Amino acid sequence: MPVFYSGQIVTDVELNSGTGCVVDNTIYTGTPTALTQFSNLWDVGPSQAVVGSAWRLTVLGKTVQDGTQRAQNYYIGYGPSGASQQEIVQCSSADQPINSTWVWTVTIHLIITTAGAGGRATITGTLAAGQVPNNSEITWTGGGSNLTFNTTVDNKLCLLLDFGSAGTNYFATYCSIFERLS
Amino acid sequence: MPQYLDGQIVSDINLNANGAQVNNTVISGTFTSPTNITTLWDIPANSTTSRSAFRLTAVGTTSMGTTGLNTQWGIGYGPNAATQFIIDQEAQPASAVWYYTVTVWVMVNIGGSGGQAYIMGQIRAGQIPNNSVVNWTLGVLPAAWNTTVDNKLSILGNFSASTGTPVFTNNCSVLERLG
Repeated sequence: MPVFYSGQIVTDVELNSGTGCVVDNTIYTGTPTALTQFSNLWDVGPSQAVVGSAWRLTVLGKTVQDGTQRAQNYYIGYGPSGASQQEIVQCSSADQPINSTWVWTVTIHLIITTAGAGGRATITGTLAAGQVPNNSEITWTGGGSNLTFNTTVDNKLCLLLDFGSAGTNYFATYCSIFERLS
Repeated sequence: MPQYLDGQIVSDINLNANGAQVNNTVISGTFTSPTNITTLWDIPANSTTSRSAFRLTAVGTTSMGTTGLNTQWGIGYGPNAATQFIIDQEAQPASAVWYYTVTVWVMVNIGGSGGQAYIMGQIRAGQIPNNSVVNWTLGVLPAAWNTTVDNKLSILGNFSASTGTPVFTNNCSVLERLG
């Protein structure tokens, strides 16, 4: 969190080198059957990270199932252009009942464990979802440690989603909150 | 959390209006209707706009008496926090003690008198030893949220009855301004 004092004139350098939080309220909806970006493509700029640098990305959304049981997948996109993928959870078609809505949060943590061109990171994500009424829920955490993460280049972080098949089912995400923790 | 612009002169008002605040008032009782178990956090009139966001976290315990009952958690929001939304209701075994964390997010999507917010709550609780557990997320997508008036935010808790004298004890709450 940025720490400023009364009367301080804030500069770009301070804003960009400090920690902080940004909110994006773009709404993403759709029924993808291949992993698709469902949050802003958040930027982790080149040479902004050292060992122990950490970020938290929170996404609020829902999943609406139609009358057919369908699998759904929650992944993290990371690295240059967010092109690398890491699984949070693959939900089977039996997990969410037909014609139901799950309201959920996904919380992703990115922690740099080694800086530099040969850098490494631990990236985890937790899906926590519940149905109205209390018929089903899922809470799952996945991710990876010692993942390749070159801190000298521009990296991105985002949430990726898809279904096993398409009908009138859909995902909707309402906002993402990107916090720099250290 | 503070959000400043390049060249902005930061004032005490800016500093005090943003960031994280902690309230460690212990609120305890045998509540049988949704009751504020946190302080009534203030979101003043005209202090939010599109993309303003908050996270409210509460930690505490629910100690069931000799009879198993339903335990529930909710969100109070809007003017006087008078609008109530139940996140979850769960059957808690007799004599079980649950340690819980409740996290609530409010993200203002549209400002103004006809404003709108996405409000979501998450309850996570576990018993020692590992006999029972709760994980649940639910929300109002979207909720009416008039940013031109004073709004409050709180977390609610109660039991389905007072049989056996169950006790809710909330130890503290943390309100963070995220945007």
